[in-house]
Amino acid sequence: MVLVIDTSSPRSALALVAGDEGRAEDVALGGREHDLPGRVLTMVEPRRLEAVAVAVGPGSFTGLRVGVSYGVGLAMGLGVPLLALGSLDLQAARAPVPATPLVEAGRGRVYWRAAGAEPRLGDPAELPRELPAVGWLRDETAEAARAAGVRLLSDEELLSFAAAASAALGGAERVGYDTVKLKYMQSFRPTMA
Amino acid sequence: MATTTSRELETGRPEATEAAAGRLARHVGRGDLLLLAGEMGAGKTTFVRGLAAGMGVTGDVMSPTFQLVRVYRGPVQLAHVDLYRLDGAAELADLGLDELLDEGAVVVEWGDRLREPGAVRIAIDVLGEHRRRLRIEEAPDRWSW
Repeated sequence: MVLVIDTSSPRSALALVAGDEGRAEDVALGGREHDLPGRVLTMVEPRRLEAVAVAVGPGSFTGLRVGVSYGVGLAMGLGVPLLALGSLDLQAARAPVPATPLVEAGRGRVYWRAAGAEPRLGDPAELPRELPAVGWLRDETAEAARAAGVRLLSDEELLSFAAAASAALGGAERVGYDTVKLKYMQSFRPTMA
Repeated sequence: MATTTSRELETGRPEATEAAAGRLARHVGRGDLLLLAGEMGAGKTTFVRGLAAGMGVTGDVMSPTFQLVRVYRGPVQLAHVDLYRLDGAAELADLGLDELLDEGAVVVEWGDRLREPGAVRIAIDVLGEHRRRLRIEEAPDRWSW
C-alpha cells in the first residue's frame, strides 16, 4: 500500500493506493497541516505502507514544506521508498479528458502546464482557453480564471483524488530521503547575478 | 500604477525617522511590499521599528540579518526581511515572499537587491551624523510623509 500526500494547494489531500487501485482518500481544506499524522493514522496502520509518495510542487511555500517534511520523516522511519510526484501531474490525473492542470500560486496567480511545455507561473488571464482546466484554487483565483474565459472542471466531472493518485503513481520518481527537492517557483528575482 | 518621485523628508535624529516611518504606516496594508535602500548605518532597522509601531504591531523589532525573516503579528502582519546576506535566486525562493505577501505586508532591508515592479521603494540617504533624507522613490500617488 502506498500513501500519497499532496499539500501543495489550498486542499490538503491524502490517498491510499493498493496495486493500481485507489483505496481511500481524505481531502480537507488546507492550512498549516498540523493534523497530517492524525489523519494518516485514521486511514492506515503505518507499518502496512510499502512506500510514501509526496507531491513536490509547484505549489504553496509552506504547504509543500510541511507535506514533504512529514512524508520524508514517515518514509525514513518506516524504512520504505520515498516517491516524488509533480503536483501538476496529480491534477492532470484527476481529469478524464485532456485538461490544463493548475495549482494555486498565491497573490492571485497560478502555476500551470500546457501540453508538452514546461510549468509556468502567471496571471489567470494568461491561461490557455482551448482546453478546460483542473486544479484546487482559492475561490478568488478560480473566479479570475473563469472571468478570463477558462472553463474549470467541477468536482463532479473529475476522478476521485485516490483514483488520480493511483494513476499518477505510474509517473512517480523514487528519490532519496536526503535528496528530495521541492519544485517551488516564485516570481521574485534578485538584481544581482 | 501611477508613480511619482521626489517625495522627500529630512530628519535630524533617529527618533524623527522612526516617527516618519510610523506615519507612513497609514498607507500600508496586506500585500504591500516596501523595499528599503540605504547604506550600513543609514537607519533601515530604525525605520522598520517606526513602521511596525505605526502599524500597531507587537514584538521587538530588530535586524533579521542572520535569520533573514522576522514576522511580527498585528492588525496587519508585518514580515521584516533583510537581504544583506542574500546569495542568489535559490535563497530568495527559500524566503517564501509570495506567501508572506498573501498574509500581510513585507518590508525589506537592502531591498534594492530585489527586482520587483510595483513594489514601494524608499531610500534613506545619509546627510550627516544624524541627518537623513527619506525619499519615497516609487509608490502609489497617495503615499506621502
